[in-house]
Amino acid sequence: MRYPILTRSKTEALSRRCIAGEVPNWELERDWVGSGQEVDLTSLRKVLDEAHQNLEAERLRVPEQLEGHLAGEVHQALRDLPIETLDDPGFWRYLSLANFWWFVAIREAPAIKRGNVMTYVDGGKECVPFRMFVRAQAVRVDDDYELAGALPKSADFWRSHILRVKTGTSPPLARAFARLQIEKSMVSDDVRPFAKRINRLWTNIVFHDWTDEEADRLLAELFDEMFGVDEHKRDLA
Amino acid sequence: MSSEVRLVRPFVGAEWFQKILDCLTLRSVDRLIKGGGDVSVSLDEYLNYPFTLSFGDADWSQVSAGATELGLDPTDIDLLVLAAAPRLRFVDTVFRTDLGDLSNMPDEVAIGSADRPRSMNAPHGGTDLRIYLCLNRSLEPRALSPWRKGTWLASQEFRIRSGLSGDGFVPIRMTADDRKQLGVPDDVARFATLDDGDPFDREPPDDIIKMYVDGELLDRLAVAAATPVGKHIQRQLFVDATSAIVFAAQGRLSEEPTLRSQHVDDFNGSLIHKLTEVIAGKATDSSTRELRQAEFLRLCDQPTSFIAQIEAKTGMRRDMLDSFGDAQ
Repeated sequence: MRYPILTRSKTEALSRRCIAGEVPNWELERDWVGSGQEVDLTSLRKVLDEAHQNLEAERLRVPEQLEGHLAGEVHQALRDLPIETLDDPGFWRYLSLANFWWFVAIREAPAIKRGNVMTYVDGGKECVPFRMFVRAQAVRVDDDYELAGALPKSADFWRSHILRVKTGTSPPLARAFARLQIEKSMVSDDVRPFAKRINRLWTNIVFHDWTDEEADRLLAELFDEMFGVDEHKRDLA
Repeated sequence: MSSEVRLVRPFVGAEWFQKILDCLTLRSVDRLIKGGGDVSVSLDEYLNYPFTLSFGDADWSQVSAGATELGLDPTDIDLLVLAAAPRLRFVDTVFRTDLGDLSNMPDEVAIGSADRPRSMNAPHGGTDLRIYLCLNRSLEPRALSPWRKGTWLASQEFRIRSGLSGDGFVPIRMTADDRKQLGVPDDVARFATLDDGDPFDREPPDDIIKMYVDGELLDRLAVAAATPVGKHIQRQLFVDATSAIVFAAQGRLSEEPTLRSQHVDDFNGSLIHKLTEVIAGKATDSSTRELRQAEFLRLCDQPTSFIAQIEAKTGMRRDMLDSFGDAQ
């Protein structure tokens, strides 16, 4: 199977053209890795075309919410691709510019205005489509991606407390944390120390075989320890 | 005085289990890697060849001694081998068995000969092989004893990388909220911290070093990374991260002075160990090990001198001179 990529240097040059409003000819610009049949990106294109067409309606959401909303559909469209394709930063560079550019340009407008586009299209941890994929992967249950888009104003929550730490590698724990945050809406002064407690647990515990129920119980217990049962009850009331 | 809550491992008896995993080696096509080690292999080897975990001289009878000391039944303890993809953030279980029948414990575990873990098809991100002896169910909570499901009694790790894999830390854009949380003024350009991360941790989390950088500076840096000024700033960020690690290490040494009397190779995989490798090298011969230990003692006793050693290794002086722009 073969898949399209962009090299880093080509991505730098092409992103400048995208910023200038050009639409490069991707068939000429992309390179291929592998041989044989091309990876099927039809469903991804369909998802993104639909979202793009509904852009005006989607603009009603803040871009941050749109990222969460789209994350599940993006994951569903890409999750069956070969691992070596998903692992290749060049593939994500290609997607960032050829398929996601309209969204990257909205989502990261302030940074792009200051001249920093590569952070968001270079296939690394902050690359927009890649982080959407990993976010949805961290919390999905089969085809249910509701949690990925359920938290408003949550960029810091996902980045700092799920995706960049080990919690993101244990879907039951990540889901439990997202559910708790939906329920409690902890402000950042509270969620940071709480997340630190979870990170500390990884020092002693392997979470990969935990169930959602076990993770929910553990986080409820930690929440009560940190903020008190009374506070908890008050929130539930 | 810090009011931070620290979780510690207050179990007596876990060392019996650790002795077993300390015997682990990883065999690739032509190399034998001791526990906690990194191995970089060719792309072909990474994708196509099997690796073997070998328990070598492990004495499984030590399970009984450890289990008795901890008041555990061996059937409640699993040998668990996980293959993690650090870039794609997923984890596969490669092997698992409980310790109920010690006569049937494996001498070796083959990785990638039949069901290849997904991470071994991900050469850009690499594979972290993690091996645990851990509780397979929750027990009645007891003071000073492990009881939560997943609590590990011993662990070991190997990092397998291909020529395509990369490492390093990613700067975090410092937001107004970050500045408030960190208690730093608006005009601070960068701030490095380990938060409550442990620089002696042999399995540090991916983001243990948090390098916050002013957003405007980060954007300028992203477009000028290859210029002399850009290179100078990047190297300075590395030295800043080093300083944060050294400060955190000083804190840990104050809490636990006995750390100083250990050999730095006991902390293989930790940030402290990696820094000593930057200065003294990664080889396992006795003279390099001694050099690493000498640098570790320098870190303990003369921290600013240690940071200077790291700075010298970055080549920052040349970039500083080049950033003036005039011919040298």
